[in-house]
Amino acid sequence: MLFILFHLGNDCYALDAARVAEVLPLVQVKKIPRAPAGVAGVFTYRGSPVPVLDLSEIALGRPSHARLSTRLLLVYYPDETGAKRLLGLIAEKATETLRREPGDFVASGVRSDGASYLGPVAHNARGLIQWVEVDKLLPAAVREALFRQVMEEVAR
Amino acid sequence: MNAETSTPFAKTSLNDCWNKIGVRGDGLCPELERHVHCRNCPVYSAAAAKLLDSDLPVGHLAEWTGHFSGEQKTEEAGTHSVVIFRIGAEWFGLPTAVFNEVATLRAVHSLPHRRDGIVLGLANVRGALLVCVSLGEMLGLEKTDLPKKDKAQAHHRRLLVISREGSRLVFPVDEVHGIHRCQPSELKEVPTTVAKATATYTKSMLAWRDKTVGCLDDQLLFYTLNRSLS
Repeated sequence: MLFILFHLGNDCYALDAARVAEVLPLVQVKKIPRAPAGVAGVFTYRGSPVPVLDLSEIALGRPSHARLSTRLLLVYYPDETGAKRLLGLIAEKATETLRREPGDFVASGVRSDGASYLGPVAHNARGLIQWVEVDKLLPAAVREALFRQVMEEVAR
Repeated sequence: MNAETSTPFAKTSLNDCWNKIGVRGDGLCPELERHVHCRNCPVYSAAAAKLLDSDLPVGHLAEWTGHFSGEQKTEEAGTHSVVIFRIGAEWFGLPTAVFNEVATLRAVHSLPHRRDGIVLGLANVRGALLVCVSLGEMLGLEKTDLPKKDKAQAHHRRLLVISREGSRLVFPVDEVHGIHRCQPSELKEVPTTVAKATATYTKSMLAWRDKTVGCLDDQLLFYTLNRSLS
């Protein structure tokens, strides 16, 4: 199984590469007023609007640094009807991939109710890597509101 | 890396050991024994990651935002794929589909009573004896002595193995560029001024780099060659 690695602060996290449609360089994101915390805004991808989350904002409460190594991961995300939608994730130091079996990841032993997206951990030479589950990044209510909000924002 | 290309990252101090003791330097790095090439070495990838940690260049955001907002350009349907090769001074192309392989030059055993003309003899390709023909002779290309520069490039010569409808042939060429994809719109009509014999076999002309490539009619080519064999 292939993972895309990125950083939140100094620590390394992994995302299932099968969920990633494309890795883009950082682009200009239009802010959405009064959007839920962690929502960086929306950008136009191939003619249609795609909402963007900032992973550093969600996890650490500060926006990602604008660097060349900060990339926009375009992931598939199910909306309320179950249809696949695209969602952008701004991730710092998204420059590497890692091949690991899902069985290599074990429960971290620490549960954080505020961050249910944090999954099991695996370790490599440089330390622990934690699996981030895309589906759990947003509470369902926020997710639905977000996709709806994006559509309204564009229709306006 | 010279001074000009390194300017965007000049602010980042970087130990470019691959230029000093690595494969682009004197090759004395003890790590080379383990990694064989610098690109396999963690120091090299760490340096690359360090370069990527630099701030965004001016205009970067705007450029990429514009790039991804537009419709994706997909390749026009019906592209042609040709293998481009050189005989003498002229460049030719044949549809990639007729090619079996590009083989190294090898001895061609001449056939008794066939010492002139198109058939050069037999060549052994993977154990099969294939008829080796001279495309230059068939196209009526003038035999030019290789310029001095080309003599040094004799190692560019290859044997091309082509097949169509069960008949396999080989022919020597002076150089093979490789596979080139082009749009149907890029193919131009053959001007009437082209030498007659070449014009018969040339279906269309293709501008490639600063040269013009004559795309040959594979059907006619095989027909003529097969006839000259019987």
